[in-house]
Amino acid sequence: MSIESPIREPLIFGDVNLHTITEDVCGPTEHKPTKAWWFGFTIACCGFAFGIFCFTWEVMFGIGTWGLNKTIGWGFDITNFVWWIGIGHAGTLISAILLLFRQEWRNSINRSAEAMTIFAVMCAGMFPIFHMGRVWNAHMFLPLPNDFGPLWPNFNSPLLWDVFAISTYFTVSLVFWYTGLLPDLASIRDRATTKMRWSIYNFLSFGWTGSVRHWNRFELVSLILAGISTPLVLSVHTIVSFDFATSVIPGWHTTIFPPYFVAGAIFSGFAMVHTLLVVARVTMKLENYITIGHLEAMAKIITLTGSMVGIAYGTEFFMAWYSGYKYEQFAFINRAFGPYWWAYWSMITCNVITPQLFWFRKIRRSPVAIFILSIFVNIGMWFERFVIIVISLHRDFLPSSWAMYVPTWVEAGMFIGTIGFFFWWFFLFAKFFPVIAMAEVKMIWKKTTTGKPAGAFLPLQDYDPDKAYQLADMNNPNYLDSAGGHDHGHSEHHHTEEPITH
Amino acid sequence: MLKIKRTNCIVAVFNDDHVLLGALRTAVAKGYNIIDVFTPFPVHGIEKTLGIKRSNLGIAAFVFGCIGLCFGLSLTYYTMTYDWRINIGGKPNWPLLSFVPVLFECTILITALGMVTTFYTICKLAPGVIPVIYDKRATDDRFVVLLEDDARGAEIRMIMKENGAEEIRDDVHVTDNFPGPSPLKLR
Amino acid sequence: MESLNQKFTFTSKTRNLFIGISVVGLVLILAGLVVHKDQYARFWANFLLSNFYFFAFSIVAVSFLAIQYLAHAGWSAGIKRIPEAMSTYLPIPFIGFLIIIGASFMHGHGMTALYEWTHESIVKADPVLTGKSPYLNSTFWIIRVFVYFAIWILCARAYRAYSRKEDEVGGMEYYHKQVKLSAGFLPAFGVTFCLAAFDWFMSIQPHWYSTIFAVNVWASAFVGFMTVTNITIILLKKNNYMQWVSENHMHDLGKFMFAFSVFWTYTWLSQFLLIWYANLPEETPYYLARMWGNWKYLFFLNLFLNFACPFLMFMMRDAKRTPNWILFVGAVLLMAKYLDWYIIVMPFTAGHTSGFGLYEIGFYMFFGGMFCYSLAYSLSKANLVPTKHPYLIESLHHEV
Repeated sequence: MSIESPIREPLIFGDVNLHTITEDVCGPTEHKPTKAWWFGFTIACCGFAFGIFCFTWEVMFGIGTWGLNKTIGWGFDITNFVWWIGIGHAGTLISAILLLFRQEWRNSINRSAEAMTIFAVMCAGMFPIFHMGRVWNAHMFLPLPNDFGPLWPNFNSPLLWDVFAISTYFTVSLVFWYTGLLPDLASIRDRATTKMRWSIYNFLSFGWTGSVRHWNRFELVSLILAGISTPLVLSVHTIVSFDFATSVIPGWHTTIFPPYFVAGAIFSGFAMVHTLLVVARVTMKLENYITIGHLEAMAKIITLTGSMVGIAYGTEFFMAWYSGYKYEQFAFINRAFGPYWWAYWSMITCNVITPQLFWFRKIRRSPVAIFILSIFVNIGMWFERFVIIVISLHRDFLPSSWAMYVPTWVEAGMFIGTIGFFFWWFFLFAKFFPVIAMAEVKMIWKKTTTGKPAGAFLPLQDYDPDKAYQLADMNNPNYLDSAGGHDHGHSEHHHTEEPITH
Repeated sequence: MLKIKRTNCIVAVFNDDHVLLGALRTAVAKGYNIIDVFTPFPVHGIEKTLGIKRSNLGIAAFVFGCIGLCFGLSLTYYTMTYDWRINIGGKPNWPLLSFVPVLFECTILITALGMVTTFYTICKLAPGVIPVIYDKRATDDRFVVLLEDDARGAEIRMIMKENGAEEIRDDVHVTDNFPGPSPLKLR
Repeated sequence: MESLNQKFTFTSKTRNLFIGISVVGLVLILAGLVVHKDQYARFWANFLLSNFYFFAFSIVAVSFLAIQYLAHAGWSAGIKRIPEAMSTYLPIPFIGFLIIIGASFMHGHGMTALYEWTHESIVKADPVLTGKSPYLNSTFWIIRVFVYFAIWILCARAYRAYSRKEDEVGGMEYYHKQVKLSAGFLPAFGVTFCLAAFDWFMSIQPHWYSTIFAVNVWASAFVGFMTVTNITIILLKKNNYMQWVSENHMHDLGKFMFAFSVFWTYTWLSQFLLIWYANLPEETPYYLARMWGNWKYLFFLNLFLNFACPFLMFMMRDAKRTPNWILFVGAVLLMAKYLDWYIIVMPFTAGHTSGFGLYEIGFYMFFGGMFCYSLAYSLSKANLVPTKHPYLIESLHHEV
């Protein structure tokens, strides 16, 4: 059994045991939804409905209802597409990459983050499909002979790579997420009080029993899925960046795009996880599981990826100058000081400056500050895509075709519609599915709370790493032996310990 | 009501994973036949104690990966090079490099789907499967050991009790498709 | 458990071995001066390449420490003395660069042998190079070398000093100091390493540019650093040191070697695919010079050694847990990293005179001997494990 250092902040707080974990997570699926839930759900439904109206409008009257023109062929649609796909990156990062890095704080948030991924990818997928105008020809995306004649889609095209990348990403994320759900759905099943409920959740849990042989394979499957999802999640935004970078348009063609897009995607994805979880942990009373420590860890990742994005902006700008290629140089001057300067500086403010505020411990441990900053990052990352797409296109090699782009209400409505759609799914998920991976939290419960050397177990409000450290008395030469002694046979430990109160 | 009966079993229920591991070690040392163990989360060490080998699913994943790669290669080669050749940007007729993304995605997709299907198949998990549940709390907070009730039955019960079993049931907790209100509510 | 108060004994046998390697390297270089007569560009290219090769491992070692502190990593606490010891090598590459700078006073040597943009007549005749001259000029380049090394050496020494102080006094004070240091160092490292890669390697072909270039060089360096760490641990264990380090630690280091080999391929592909696809005349010369003629064998061998080899040889779990196999894969990867940077440096410096002869082997041995000496020397100076590191307990009980 692995051991945790006494100074590591517990990942679970409160008077929690295995049974209360089940109670707290399954509870919301068993009770009638709260008023807050109905309120949010209704708003999401309204947004979704307005979106359906706008999408229908676009299909009826064609792409002419958008503000696109001959110069700017990609506007709100692709901006929104890339924005949503980016948001969809955090879930798989949390469930796959952080699993490989054994970051145990992921266990409390991976379920909801991955659900978010799946819904975000669904939102993203709508934009390219509706951008075709004739949505009834959407099957032409697929490698079928076109109109069943001998002409195939072009496998040299990054747009077709996108089709493969996003459909693979969606499928694998769904499979990964659902496999992880089985044990928790079985928990809900085994608590069922009506036959109907039992049958539904048994159907959904595939007849899971928790047999040791199943767990043994389950863990290996999770690990391998994490192993293959890691390059997958990198590949998706890489391929999205190829949509731009394989071209010769100044501002689009640069080799840093793949890692820079991936960093940006993780950055925006974590911001969205923050936005959702800061609210969800309070409304669903999950503060014991999604602690300030969890929010702080995510804030650190936001600072890291935000700084990477910042360095990439700098590199791009520097290389544009260094290249000696005047079109490239113009593209960047135009970004910062052209007619869309406000979009560029919004991007810089939100993406480069706001995440640096998380260097302050007070800010990154304050849910309110985190919520506000996460909204800024979401906005900033939307502007990043707008800057890359629209500003690069609006003034190209031929000054006579320079133009401006203004979105119409239809485009804006479609964007609002996908936000409604996203939250619509998320509310349903929060009502009917376990929002925290119970089995995984139970796995670390003992280690992170009572499995530590004595004295490290302190009430939340008194938690102080220095104090925990002193209590553990690490300067004591027998420290390692006494800690090792906790390895076996201290099963009663957590009963005798003073329970922490929140 | 569907009833699945399994005779000659002892169900021992534990409330702590450390105690469970200790009891399992004793049971294995004494040569009892442990049919299965049900836990709410993966308890590391059980598989070692029971001598369950590491799963070979990794090899399955590798094989499926190879299949996926071959599928991607044949798809791109057939469509772009063999069936209908087009000059695109003066690139070669079989531009393997620009197929890398598609080949990669095909490999990942087939690996994931193939491996997960294999996992579900060997674990006999599928929508609509009616499981045999010996104790409903095994997905909540209890650790359930299923032992064969052989000639040493009385001894097994005693030893398991001595090793910290919270509850020993002689009879099998027979499961049907809906076994009534949750014992949790009754507790 | 055995005592954690254990120091590496730098025996005279090992010491003589490392000094011997350097001396043999020096002899080979001197022999090279006779055999490879008048090939000054090749001489300096090899100087730069081998100097950079060992430098890169030691600077990435510092960044690894920074990442471990910022991430509050526990598993690596027990092995962190090895990157620490590696980082003490940094002054030697600095001296190496001073030699390159100093030799530039002789025309055709040092920087003037390596970088086209140091020749004023060429720059004046070329508008692109003239445009770059505010950045690419000898004075600024030299200033930057000093700035980079000042930051790196100071931070590396601070890590070492704090860590050794922690051994004495314990407590959280020095841990927090190192976390703060890391928060400052890591962004600075990101910027300085990027610029250093542009300065030292990319500007060899001053017309060419690629924004991902530094990331690719960093990925190589990271794999190389992990390889050296893993090899050092295995060799120490074989000599009855650090018995608390288990195959679990090697497994984790192996995973890093594997994962970052794949990451290297990713950055390699991002650069190559985008340049190949867009086919812009500003960008293609880099690959035109390397994909045709005799270079093409090395070019594809590079991809094979850096990607296919680690990918296939390290995929299985047991492969990452078998010390002798790790040593073998590690040797392949160390060669692969050399080849990777060889291909970056040589075509536009040594050009047609490049090959694999006395200079190549000589410089590699010369710097390699010093690197090993400094690593072993620093290991012998401090406890092999930071006994009062607050997360040490996690590392000692590390299980994968």
